[in-house]
Amino acid sequence: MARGFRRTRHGLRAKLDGQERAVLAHLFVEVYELLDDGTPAETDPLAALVGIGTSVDLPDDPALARLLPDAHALDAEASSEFRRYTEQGLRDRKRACLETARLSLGRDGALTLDDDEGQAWLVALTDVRLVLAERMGLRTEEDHERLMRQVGMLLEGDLDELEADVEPEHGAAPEHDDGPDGGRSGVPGAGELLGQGVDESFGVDAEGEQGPEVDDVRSGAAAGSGATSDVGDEADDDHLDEARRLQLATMLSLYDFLTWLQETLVQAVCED
Amino acid sequence: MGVSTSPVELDEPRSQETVEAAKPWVTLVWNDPVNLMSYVRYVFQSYFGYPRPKAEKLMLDVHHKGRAAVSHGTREEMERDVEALQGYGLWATLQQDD
Repeated sequence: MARGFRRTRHGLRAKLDGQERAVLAHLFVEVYELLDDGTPAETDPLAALVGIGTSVDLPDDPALARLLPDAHALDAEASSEFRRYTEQGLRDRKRACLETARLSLGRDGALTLDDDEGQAWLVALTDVRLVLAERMGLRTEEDHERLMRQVGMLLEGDLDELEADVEPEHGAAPEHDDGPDGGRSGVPGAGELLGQGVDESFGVDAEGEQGPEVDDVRSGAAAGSGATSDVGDEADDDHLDEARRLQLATMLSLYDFLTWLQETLVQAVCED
Repeated sequence: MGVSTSPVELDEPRSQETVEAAKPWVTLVWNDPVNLMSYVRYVFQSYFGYPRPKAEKLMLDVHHKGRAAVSHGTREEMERDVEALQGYGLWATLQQDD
């Protein structure tokens, strides 16, 4: 059972088992690779020095587009110009955070971070959650509940209770509270789902295919469908096929685990 | 660290300079269902150095009103803020104040 981050005299400390570390490391690598635009270091040394890149368009992959959004909501041209000067640097800094987070997972003993690493972790967890959310179709305040219902984590009865208990304007955050969805007293489903689903989900076993493939986090495409499709959107309630439901359940469970972990880290960081 | 930024200067057309220069720019942060309320407040505190009550209020504005203007200044300053906030994973844009 994982224990979230706390500030100790040794630093920011959490207890994660091997499986949980492996899952986190995997996700950090996935998003790290997603942010790699494949272009080798800028050939113009001066441009490279000041971080000017060649990208001018919003990335096609919606998850990447969320990590690197347009800076001018109303002015495409200004957005392109901004992107040319900032995108490469943003990608590099995000990747540096993901790398810092991944490396810290490999150290022996309890996971202990200094403040800089804690900040890197916050950014890394945010970016991984943004990507997972986009892949699942979690884009509005109501989507988390809808997804829980779709994967069967929430029964109709629970839903009624949830709706009765949660004020509408807090719909975005039932997972942040010790909410009626089962609470955050421990790891939300991480014990079971991270433990149980990991092997299949992450293709640890060579057959891979029979399990949900969380590798989709990187590719943006569920098998056989276009880059814009994602797991959560295309089927309506109650009509996900079993493989998709499992995949979605795994992603949602991971997402909730990361949410919980990040919440503990924010608290610990703020508690100077 | 992933959250620091280098200054960015854009060559922008200066044709309507006299009219446009008078209007200040703002950095907007938009609501999204992913970023934690506590994290958004933390970012406002740690990046802008806002005291906690101000950071809290801005965070709640983002959450309840869908967006909030979190900083004001020149275009160059707002570009710096947007770049930094995007680095934190917030959905930030800049525009000229109405």
